[in-house]
Amino acid sequence: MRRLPVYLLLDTSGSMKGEPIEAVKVGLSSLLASLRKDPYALETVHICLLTFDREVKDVVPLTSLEEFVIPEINTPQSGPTMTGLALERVCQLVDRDVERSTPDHRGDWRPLLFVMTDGAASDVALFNSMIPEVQRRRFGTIVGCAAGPKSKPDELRKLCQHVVTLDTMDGHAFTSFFQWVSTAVSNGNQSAGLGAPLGLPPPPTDINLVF
Amino acid sequence: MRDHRSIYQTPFHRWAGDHPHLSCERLFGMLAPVIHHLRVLHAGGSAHGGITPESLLVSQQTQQVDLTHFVACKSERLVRDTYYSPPEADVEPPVEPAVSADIYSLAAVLYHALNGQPPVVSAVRLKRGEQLGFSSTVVTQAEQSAICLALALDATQRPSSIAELETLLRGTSDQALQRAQSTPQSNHASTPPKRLATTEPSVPKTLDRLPINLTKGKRCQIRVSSLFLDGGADWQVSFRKLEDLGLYLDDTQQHLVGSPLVDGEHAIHFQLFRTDGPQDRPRLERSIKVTINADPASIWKDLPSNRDDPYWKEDTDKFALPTPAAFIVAASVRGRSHAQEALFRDDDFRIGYDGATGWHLLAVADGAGSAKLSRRGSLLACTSALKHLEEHLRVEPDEPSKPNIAKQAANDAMTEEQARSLAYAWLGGAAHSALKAIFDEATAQEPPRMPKEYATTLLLSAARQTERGWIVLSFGIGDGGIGLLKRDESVQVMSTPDSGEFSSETIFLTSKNLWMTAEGISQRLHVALVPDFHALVLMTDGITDPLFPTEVSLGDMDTWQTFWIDISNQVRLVPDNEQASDELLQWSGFYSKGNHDDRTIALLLPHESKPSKP
Repeated sequence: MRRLPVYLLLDTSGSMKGEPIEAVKVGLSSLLASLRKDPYALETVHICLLTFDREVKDVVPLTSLEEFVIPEINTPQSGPTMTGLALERVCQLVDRDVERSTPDHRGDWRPLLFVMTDGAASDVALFNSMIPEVQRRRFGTIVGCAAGPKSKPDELRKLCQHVVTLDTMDGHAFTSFFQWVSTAVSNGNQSAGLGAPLGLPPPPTDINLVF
Repeated sequence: MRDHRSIYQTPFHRWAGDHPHLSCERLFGMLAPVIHHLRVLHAGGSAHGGITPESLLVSQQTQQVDLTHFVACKSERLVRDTYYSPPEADVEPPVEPAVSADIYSLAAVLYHALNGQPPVVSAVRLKRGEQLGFSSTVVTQAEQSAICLALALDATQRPSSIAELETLLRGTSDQALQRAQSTPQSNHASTPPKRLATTEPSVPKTLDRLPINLTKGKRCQIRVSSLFLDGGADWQVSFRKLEDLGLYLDDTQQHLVGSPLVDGEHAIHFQLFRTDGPQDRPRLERSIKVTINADPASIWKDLPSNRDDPYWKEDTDKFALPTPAAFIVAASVRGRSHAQEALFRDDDFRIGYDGATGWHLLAVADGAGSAKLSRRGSLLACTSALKHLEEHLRVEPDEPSKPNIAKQAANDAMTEEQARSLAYAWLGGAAHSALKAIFDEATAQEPPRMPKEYATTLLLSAARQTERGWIVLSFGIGDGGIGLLKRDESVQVMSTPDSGEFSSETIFLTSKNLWMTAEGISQRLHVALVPDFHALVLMTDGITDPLFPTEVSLGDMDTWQTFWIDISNQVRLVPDNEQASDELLQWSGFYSKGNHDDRTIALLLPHESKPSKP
């Protein structure tokens, strides 16, 4: 069975503690709920959830949408935001888990990557060195979400084909974002030219697309 | 009177249950309007006496407790809830509430919000000397101590004011301990300060969410004991409204079984009774969230495509043609993934037979899902390629500007090399014509379109029977596949896979620099000179993905056998079957998990016995 692997990288650094992380969880639930209404997604989408703060955790390994259960997500009180380390981990997981086509083996759909952060990477050197590594993995699309006033959309733009910004970090904003993610994911399983990036639907009005 | 329990307001304990990670500080903060009101009351020498989480409605908008209903509650104070009232209130006739009673109730409300259940009823604690415990991990030691102190059975031990409770909640655990120790012990005191905040072993912890998802209509079995994280042994479970979910307890009472009836986010509700306690009164209310998946096969929508679109095409197409040498049958159907989104069928095909020369001509194309006008691209590719193939059979042999294809094509005794040379010029030329048709149409638009918006694959075959047997030529760009099923139970793959590293990555006719070189065309040509064959099959990836998922399987006779048995069971592939194309269309709708692209198949089936020479 060919899968559509979706990698979600969520910032859980200290600044996300409390309301913001609760809002992210609400958004994540709405993402799962709307994907579960899409039969194609239900049969193909597999989600891997990673969180990053001072460390990177594989919270849920690549799991089918049917089996995916929202996990506990914890945030430390404070500490650095190891975005670069998270990208390094994603590359390892993609290399390990995503199936490539061979003459006698059917490959997966091109994986998708979504990165949500409310601040700047603390490990800037690693972050910058991981950008070409991530791009070498040939994701169908890489979407960055810069949430809240302290986020750095410019930093994400170096990595992502699409960057959206959220002015606020409430349940409404994250739900809008994740709903948009769900339409992007629903478009992930269609034939595409070699190396062509995946087209994305326009985002809803309350999230801003950074060009 | 307005209904306070509208969808915008949730009782405090339920709200806290939906937000299990909120800190005690945050919860206390939400109560700010209520606390302010209580302070005013207390300062005036009276107390509320009826604080329960049920009377604390949280507004979804402000995420604070709505004071309106709470204030109203005092005058409506009819039922005293023993979970939230102190032991001294349990007297007849009722006495005027004191400040210490409000402190107890407030602490009981916080306790419930943090633990998902109210504290053990004060009367029971008095009788059995039970201790209070915290199952929540977000509560600090200081907060636990402060809440336990405020829940002291002896009113004199409790903080004397809300301000003091607040200080203790924010302070260190030592403060609360010291406060408790400095207070003289009364006879009623059954909350020894040194044993504060110990976990009551008998209070079971249950799951917040079922660790597995269920699927509607799919039988499941859940062990009742698996709902407990610990401590379920002494408790009897009474499930509520299980039947709404389609579940029931099995005969052993050990398992929940059944086939879920509804999909979406739901909860399994139950009450817990102590096996050694009174059965008439539920002790603990619990619910465990559960996700029930829909059965994907049952939620596909079949939405009509927009007929007003200039490039609209029928959702299905079919074709059947008996010729003197063979029977051709083809079908094309819109994929479920397109029907779901009211999108068009992007596949197309065209079949031709040139009676004068005996050439059978087949073209099948799959428009790229990611390209906006690919349904038009596949149509243009098939029609123009077929037109090219037909025209070149009729070119006058002495027309100097055109390659002499007609003459080559009429050669009954061609060698394999000659066949390749013919295929190169004729089929390669047809592909070029198809590309040109797309470029011409794209650039003629106002404003001009990009040819890649018409991206499509193209599979072409031409076959003719001669005295010596069959000449079969094929050429293809992109995915899908062509197979020649021979009479000797072997298969010859007549397409070159253009697949990438990942699924459904392929190249398209419009990416001309990827195929339009002498080498690019040569490696995509296939010829077969065979005495006879069983079937020539052209398929788009909607068919090959589920049935011939890999390059190897397209050449594997066992896979072909399975395919052939399946298709022959459902389609009577003989020229006298007028329903053949309908049956083929029907067959094309087969269900295969994760494979819902448009599907097109064209079959060329030579007659069993040789036809008489025309």
